[in-house]
Amino acid sequence: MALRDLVVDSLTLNLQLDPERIIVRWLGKAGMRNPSTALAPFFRDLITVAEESGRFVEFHFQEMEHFNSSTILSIMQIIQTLRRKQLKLRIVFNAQLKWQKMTFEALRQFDAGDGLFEMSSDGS
Amino acid sequence: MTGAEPLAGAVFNPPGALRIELSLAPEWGRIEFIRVAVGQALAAVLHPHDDRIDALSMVSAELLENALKYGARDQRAVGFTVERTGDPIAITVENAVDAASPHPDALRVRLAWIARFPSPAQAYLAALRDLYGDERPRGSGGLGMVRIAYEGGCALHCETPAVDRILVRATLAGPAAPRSSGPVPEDPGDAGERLRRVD
Repeated sequence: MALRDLVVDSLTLNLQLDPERIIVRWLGKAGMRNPSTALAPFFRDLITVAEESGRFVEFHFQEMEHFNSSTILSIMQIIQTLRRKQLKLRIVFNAQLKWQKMTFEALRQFDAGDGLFEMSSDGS
Repeated sequence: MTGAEPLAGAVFNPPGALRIELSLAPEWGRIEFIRVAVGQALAAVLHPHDDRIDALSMVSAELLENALKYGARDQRAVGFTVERTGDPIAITVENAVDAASPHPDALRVRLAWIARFPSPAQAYLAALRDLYGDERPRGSGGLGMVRIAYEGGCALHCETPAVDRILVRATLAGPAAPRSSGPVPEDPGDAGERLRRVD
C-alpha cells in the first residue's frame, strides 16, 4: 500500500518514511467541523502500513498553528487505536509554544510506561 | 459614518482598550477568519508575543464552533464580542437555540462539572480520561469548554437572555508575562507570521 500526503482545508499531513519510522508532519491549521471524517481513511492506511512494515509512527506537531478540540479528539482516537494494535507512537511538539505544551503535556497521562506511547518536545 | 460623528469614547479609553463587536452569518468557514482577526487585534494592543493571543484566539474559535454546532437550525446571526477595558479580556458569543434544545442545560452542567475540580488543569485531564476508550462517534465530546478553562485560562459564564437565546462569556483575568521581553517590534512581521493570513 502506498501512503500519500493528506491535504484537507488548511491542514496538511506530510509523510516521510525511513527504515524505522513513518513520520507524519502536521502542518497548518485544523478547524474542521468533523475532522474524523477526513482523518479516518488516512489513519486506516497509516495503521496498515505500520503493521505490514513494522515501522513505528511519529507525529510532528511543531509547525501546527492551531487545532480545535474535535481534532484533539481525533488524535486521542488514533493514540488508542495504535495502542490497541500494539503499535508504537511518538509525538513531538514545540514546548516553546505554550498552547502546544499545555495540549500535549495533558496527553502524557496516556503514557502507560510500556514504550508504546512516547512524547518529546523540541524544547526539552 | 458621515465623518462628523465622533468615535464614541475612543479618546477616553486607556491605551490597549479593545472592543470588537460582530454579527456573523452562522457559517463554519467564518470561524477561522475570526480566530485570526482576534489574534491580530490582540497583538496590536498587547505585546505581540503575549501568550494570551494564542489562548484567546483559540477561545474565540471554540465558542463560535459551539454556537454553530448547537445553535438553532435556522439561526440567522451569531453575536461575537471581544472587550478589554482593563486587564481582563472578555469574549462573548450569543446565539439562538431551538426552544426545546437540551444544549443550555447541558452547558450549565458542563460548567458546574468543571467548577468541581480544584483547577481547570485537573478538569481537563479528567475530561481526556473520560473520552479515552470511548470510541463512540462524537463531535468534540464536550472538550471545548474544558479547553477554554484550561488552555485559555478563562472563567466561563453562561446565561439565557431569552428562552431561545444563549450567551456564553469567557473572561481571562489579569495580565500574563510575554513569552519574551523587550520592546514591541516596529515591524509586526513576527506576529504576522505567527498569525498567518487566512488565504
